[in-house]
Amino acid sequence: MRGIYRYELKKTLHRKDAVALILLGLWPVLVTVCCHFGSGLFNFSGDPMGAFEFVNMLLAFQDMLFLPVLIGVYIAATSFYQEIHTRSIYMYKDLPREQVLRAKYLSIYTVYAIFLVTYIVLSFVFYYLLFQYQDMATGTLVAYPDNVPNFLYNTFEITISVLFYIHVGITLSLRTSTGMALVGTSLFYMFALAAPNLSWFKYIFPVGYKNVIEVTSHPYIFCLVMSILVWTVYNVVLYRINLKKFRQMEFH
Amino acid sequence: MIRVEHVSKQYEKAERKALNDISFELGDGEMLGLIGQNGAGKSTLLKILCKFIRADEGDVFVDGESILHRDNSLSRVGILLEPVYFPYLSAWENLAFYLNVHGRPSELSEIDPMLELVGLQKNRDQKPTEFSFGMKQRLGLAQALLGKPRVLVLDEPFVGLDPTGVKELIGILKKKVAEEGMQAIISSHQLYELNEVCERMLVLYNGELVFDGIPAFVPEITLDLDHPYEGELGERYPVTVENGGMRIIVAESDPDQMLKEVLAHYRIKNVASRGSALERFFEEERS
Repeated sequence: MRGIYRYELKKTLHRKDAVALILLGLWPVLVTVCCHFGSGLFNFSGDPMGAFEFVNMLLAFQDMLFLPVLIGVYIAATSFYQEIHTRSIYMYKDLPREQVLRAKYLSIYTVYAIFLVTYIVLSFVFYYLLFQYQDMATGTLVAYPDNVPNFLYNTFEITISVLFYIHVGITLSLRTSTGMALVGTSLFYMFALAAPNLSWFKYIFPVGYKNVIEVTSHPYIFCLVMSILVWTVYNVVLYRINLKKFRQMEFH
Repeated sequence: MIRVEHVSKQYEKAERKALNDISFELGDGEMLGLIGQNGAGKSTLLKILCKFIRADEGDVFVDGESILHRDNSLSRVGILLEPVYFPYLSAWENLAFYLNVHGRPSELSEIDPMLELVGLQKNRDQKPTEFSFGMKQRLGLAQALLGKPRVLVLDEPFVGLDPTGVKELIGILKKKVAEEGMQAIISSHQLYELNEVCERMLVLYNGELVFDGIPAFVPEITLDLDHPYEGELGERYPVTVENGGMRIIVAESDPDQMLKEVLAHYRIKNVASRGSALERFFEEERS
């Protein structure tokens, strides 16, 4: 499997949309440079931030932007729907379908991981290079140590949510067109945002576990474990459904 | 050797079977032409052989081993059903990807000679989206021929090729068969070209195998004469007269003596012998 994954990843990295997603990881550079030169493009208010809080804020910002998810779903949709319908999938001949599916999954997630690591690393680097000299910065690694678990949980939740949205995109792209996969995932994302406010939904939608933290006295570790459990169940179920579908597919 | 046994396929909601109990064998060094009208089941049969669709019944054996129920059994089968490629990779990169995912990185050095063989060496770094259809067809052929396949499955390989390309492809196929004992199943509507490479024909009609063998037919030779035909040959050869006698069509399997007799009385302005006999055979089998 490792062999196919390596070449599948190399192939995916040739794509302009994959390069675009990775380049989106340069967003922290844009933010800090704009702040540094007082462009007024980004105005921050509230308490001064350490590096950790700064990174967390930028992560939340890109999550709200939804752009990384959209690009990730587009890559997924073209890796599945387009290759099946343009018959590029013939290139794989009769390689084990599970191997091909896993290689495609992993290559898409790897591209997202490259984006995320770039985003986080550049956030830290440019905090210390430029942002720490702003009024909004404390210049320290962590400004509010009590909030570290909250920030770690947020980072985890954002990351794993995006991976799941991309997984939803993959599921849709095995069954419908690229456009419908994008629309479907966007609708799912909006539902996921609203779900924590819908009484019992917050317990079965992991994005809701932060609300559980705020209204109960459960420790963060409980919410982290529950989130991991719920996301794992969802991802495993979706993967098994997609594997069955992919195995049964005929390429006309 | 390839052995197809009792293969059948019916698509969902179709009124009849796309393929009904198809069986045939193909030996080493043999090239089989697959002909039939549109919707006869040719592409369905080829896609089943390549495992892109599943047969409802039957099996396919290569050298005695079933391929339909095993993964990774097509490693020595070269396939060209239509040109396929990833649009964001160059011609060379597409072929490299194909070899790499099938566990043959040691054969990457064969790519450039193969591109040279199909006439795409100077386009190796171009993306196939910039190619004409004929060039894409050549790329598909390169992919099918990579890695010295023992079996070739080709669907309409002559489509999109210019006359020189067709001649080159016929030469490549004949050479591969002669030198490497390759077997090939070739489906085509271009009967003249098919007849150049395949002696044995399989004729499908509405999913049924109606003929499997070497067609018995006599080629037709069209002769354009310098003055009207005066009937000298009619007793010995079946002659059709056209164009006020300026053209005669003679069905003759061994034309040497016939041509000597024509030349004794006429000057021949033009000679043609193109596929009409196989087309006649195909239509007769269909009826």
